[in-house]
Amino acid sequence: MALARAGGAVRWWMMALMVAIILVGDVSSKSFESDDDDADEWSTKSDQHTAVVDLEHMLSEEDGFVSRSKLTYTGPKSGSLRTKRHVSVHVQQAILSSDDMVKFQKLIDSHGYYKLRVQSDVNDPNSEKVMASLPACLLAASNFHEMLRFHVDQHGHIRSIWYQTMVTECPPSIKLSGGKSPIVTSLTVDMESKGPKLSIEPVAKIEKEAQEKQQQDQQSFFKKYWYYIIGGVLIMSLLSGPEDDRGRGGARAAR
Amino acid sequence: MLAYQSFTLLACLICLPFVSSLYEDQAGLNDFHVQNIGKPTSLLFHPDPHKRRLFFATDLNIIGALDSKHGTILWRHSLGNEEINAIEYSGRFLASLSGRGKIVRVWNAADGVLIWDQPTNSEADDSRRDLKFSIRFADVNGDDVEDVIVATGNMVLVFSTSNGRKMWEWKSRKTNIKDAEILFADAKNVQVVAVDSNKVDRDPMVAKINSKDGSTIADFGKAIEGASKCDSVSSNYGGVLACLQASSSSVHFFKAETGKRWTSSVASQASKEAVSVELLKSDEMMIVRYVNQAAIVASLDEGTAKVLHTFEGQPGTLISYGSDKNGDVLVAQAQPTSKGLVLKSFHLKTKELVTNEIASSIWSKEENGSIEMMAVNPYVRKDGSGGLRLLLLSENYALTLFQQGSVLWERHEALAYITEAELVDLPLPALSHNELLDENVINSLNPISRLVRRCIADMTDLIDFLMKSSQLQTGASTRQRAAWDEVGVSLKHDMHGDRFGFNKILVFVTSPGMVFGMHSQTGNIVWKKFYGNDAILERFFLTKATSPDGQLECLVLGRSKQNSGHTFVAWMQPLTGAETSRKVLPVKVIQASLVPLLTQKHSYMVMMMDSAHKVHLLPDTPKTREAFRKRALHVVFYLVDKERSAIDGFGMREVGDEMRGEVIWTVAFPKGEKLLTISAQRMNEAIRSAGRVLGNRAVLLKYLNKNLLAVATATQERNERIGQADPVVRVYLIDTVIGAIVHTASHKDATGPVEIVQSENVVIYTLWNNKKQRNEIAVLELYENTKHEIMTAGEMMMYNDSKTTYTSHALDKPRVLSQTYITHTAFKTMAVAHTMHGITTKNVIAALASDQIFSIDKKLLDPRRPIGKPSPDDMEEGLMPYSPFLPVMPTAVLSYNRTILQLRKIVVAPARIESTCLMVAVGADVFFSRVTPAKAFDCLGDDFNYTSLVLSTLALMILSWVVSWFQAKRELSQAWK
Repeated sequence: MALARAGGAVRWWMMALMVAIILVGDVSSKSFESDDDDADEWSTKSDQHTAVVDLEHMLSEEDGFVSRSKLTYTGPKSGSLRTKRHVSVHVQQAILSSDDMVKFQKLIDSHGYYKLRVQSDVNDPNSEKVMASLPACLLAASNFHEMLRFHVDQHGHIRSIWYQTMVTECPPSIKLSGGKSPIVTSLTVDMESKGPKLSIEPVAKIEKEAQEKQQQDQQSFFKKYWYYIIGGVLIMSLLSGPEDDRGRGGARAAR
Repeated sequence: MLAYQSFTLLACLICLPFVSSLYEDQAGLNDFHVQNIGKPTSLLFHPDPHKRRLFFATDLNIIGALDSKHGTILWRHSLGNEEINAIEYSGRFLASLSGRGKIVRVWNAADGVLIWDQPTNSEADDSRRDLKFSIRFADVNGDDVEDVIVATGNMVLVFSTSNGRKMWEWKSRKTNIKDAEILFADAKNVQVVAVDSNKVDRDPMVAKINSKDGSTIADFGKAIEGASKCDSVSSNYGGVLACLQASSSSVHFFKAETGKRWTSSVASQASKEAVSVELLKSDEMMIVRYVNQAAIVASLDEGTAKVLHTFEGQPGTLISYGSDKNGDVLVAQAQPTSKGLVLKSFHLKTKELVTNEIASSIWSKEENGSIEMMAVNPYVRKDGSGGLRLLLLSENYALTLFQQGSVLWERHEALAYITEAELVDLPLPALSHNELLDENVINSLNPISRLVRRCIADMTDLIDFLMKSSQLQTGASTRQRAAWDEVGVSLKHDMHGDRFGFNKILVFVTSPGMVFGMHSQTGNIVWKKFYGNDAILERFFLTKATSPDGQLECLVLGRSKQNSGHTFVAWMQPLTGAETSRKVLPVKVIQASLVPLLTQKHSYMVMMMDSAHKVHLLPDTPKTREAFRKRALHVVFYLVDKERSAIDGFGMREVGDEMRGEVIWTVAFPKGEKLLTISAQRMNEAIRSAGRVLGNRAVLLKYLNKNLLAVATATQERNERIGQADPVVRVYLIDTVIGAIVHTASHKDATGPVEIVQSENVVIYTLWNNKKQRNEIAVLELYENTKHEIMTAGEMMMYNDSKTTYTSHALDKPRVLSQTYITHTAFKTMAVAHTMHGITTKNVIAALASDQIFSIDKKLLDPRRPIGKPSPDDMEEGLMPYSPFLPVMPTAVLSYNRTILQLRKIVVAPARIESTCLMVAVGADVFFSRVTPAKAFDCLGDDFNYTSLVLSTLALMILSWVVSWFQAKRELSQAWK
């Protein structure tokens, strides 16, 4: 049952990736618009701030982290009042060279992790690095199709990288074919969502009574005094009933 | 008629027990409350021994009084974060100075009622923790009523004791004044001694103030001419000031009342250097201590001091003194030895020296550590003879009162510093019947012998049951030692497990290095073990929680005291406290966790990572290493770095023969975003269902992720519209296998403290709404983002069975339902009531700011609560209409009228029956109770009236017999008619 479920998930991911590949083409990019109560205006190009930083990867301990491709962050300028938070992230497509592929094969053979990292503040190269990794075999098993989800904010902070592939289990053995291989990236941008607020704001009892009184004062004349009117009409009709009869009778007699 | 009357009487008798009381009698039946005070910083005996009062102030900022005869708490008050700087007793009053000398209070010494409190407006430097403050009772206006004099920094204030009215305030022109102490006070002048805060030496300066109006007679100036570079300074109530110059072995004196100055030589003790001088407060005597821990009691004579007695020195020796109600002083020395403890007391008036030896079974350095404080209480008996009470505070925070050399009482104040708590099941004796459940045994027997064996086993179990019942009734004298008990604890305590799983041993690890085993039924300490001599304990792991033979195992982990770079490990039997082995690893461990891999002894392994990221195993054997190596690729753990505001995830890498941890993910929060709190999922929590059935019979599939970590952060974010920074609290849900943030909830205008708790697919957290100025509690329920539909119960069961494993590599974002409510009070901490099978409602147990424990019905924290009128489906689902307020119902307060002082942690463990779980709350106090979130639906309560049941049954039987007898008689009489 678990396998069947895993298979279902793989199919779902495959479809998602196909759609993603069609959408992204050579360069992966994704934007995110976040809600903001205080703002309702669209940003313009002049309000945008763009930063390009290195997206680094590690294929071997000896080489350490080296630049894989460029990551372009676009977000609102600091201090802009046009705070509709339109943020986008682009990742340049990476290609693993033949040497890289040899190293990648070694990584797979040693059950190692393929790691990616980027600076957590796009405006500060000395900021903490945000890192994510995958068992190298998973990336190879997915034909180097990766899915990246960056958690960013409008100030240019990257908090985490959600790194996945369509494949969730490593095959027993993987032998990479020699030569270059492109890494196909599907990109998503995540931003923080608002925490829950009170569904009903409580009203103080005095305020509530004042509101009710105000509502009562604003009622129309008929709404306010309908029972007096109905009462009056009823009394009038009861009192006037016999006189009418007498009148009618008199009339009849006159006729 | 007679039969009717008899029946009425019987019915009344039967009903009588049901109307006896409501719930008050249940208090303390299934719970216990251990009240503690913390580590004393000040101890004052009441001079009259018949009052039996011992006043205290502790480092937990608790002030109060103990019964000096029994050690019980007479009264106590927690001052919260207000550090208690000084206490003083006089007549009916106890005065305290707290909050860095900023608040003075006067309490009724008898019952602890606050009489008044006043601010002092002290300007003492809050950043300096070494400052001293002084408070004293003295009559300064000559009305024969003592007033309260306070010296704080460069200020002196006098208050009326009766009503707290400030009589006058004096402030020195000099600001560089610290450690002010009242030297002398009478109706003419008040003299204060202090030292210059800018100088390294402690040369005393004295200021003289007019007692009538607080005007300056003389501001701070050098008290003793020619006495510079004092190594030790002391003063007494008689206004004598002493300054010890160690280099010349001389003590310079100054008498405040007369202004007389003189010098005494204390060069003795085989040329050992004197290190400190202490004047006896109520007598013109002094104690001079030497480098070799020896001490002399000497007079304050000019020239050469007259030595009254010399106490020999030993490492760890402590000397103190006290006076009885006649003012006679007794100096006592406590000296730890290899055989235990030697207590010597010297009476200054009679010159009598009394020596008492305490056996190591009562007090030993191994079990108690060093002596940290001693309070002496000499007293006069009715026959005029003298007695001595001596209170010792040991390194293990045990307060022991010795009276004439024997222990009168002992308090274990280390229980106020619990860092780890675990509930360990007492083993249940295996039934003889159980062997017939073994398939191998069944298959080896023919049907007849199987039947015979079964009958024999059942009879044996019945006899055992009857025997145990009689044993329980007869009490401790007939207890037999359990097979697993090598120490003998089962002879003193009821160490039998029960079928409902209520009998447990609560294992507490404390910061002073004490480890306790406490019985869950009685609250008595079953065993205790002191590790403070060897290590600073940090972690506790229950590596073997169950075993039919009772051979359980746990280990404590800490930093070695001999070498802070080394790690101390000790294995223990958690039922007896017996240590099985210990070792010191020459590595500095930065992370340790229990690995769900079993050793050959069926105990779990503990994995540790040192500062060089090398992985170590406990126990470290070739077999455990091999077993761990096979699973290493699936082991991921994380480290939270508050300084960097980052969380690092670690995976395993094989380097040669050893395993190393390598960082595989990092989640970094922006600079200035502070990590407030984290909450991980409970690994052994039982989950009943992977879906939630709605009112329309549709099912929401729960987003179940055991690796989910909830992290709360706080930061200030600039609001460009209003041009100022707003506080923001964010709650992140992070998958700790791949380091992915799966959800974030951001709260503007909110601040901490934030408390988070997780259970199944629910995350609950509290915060402070800065804009509305109120406490709020938010609930997030995570569901899978899937179109999967489950329409029948059968499908749900199949889904539950299939949902036993999952991978974080195929993780998706959850669908989050959320709601927020207002709470009338802040929550200090929270826990979830989880039971054996997870069927019972998982109520939230919260510690209120008032130090009470409150059970919140999960139905109130349901994000699906409808706003407005509930639909039929909502009603079918049992949803309560939304209300912004979370009610605090008095009946839901688990601690009823008790206050668990400084409550900070709640630990919950399931019992063996589904309805009940066991909760232990720790702070300064320890409170244990059973929790039944959905009432005790599967068992009869302890208060169930079995007698009434039997009587009712008997009454009904008699009644039916009487009725049938009357019926037969009537039928017979009718037949004759």
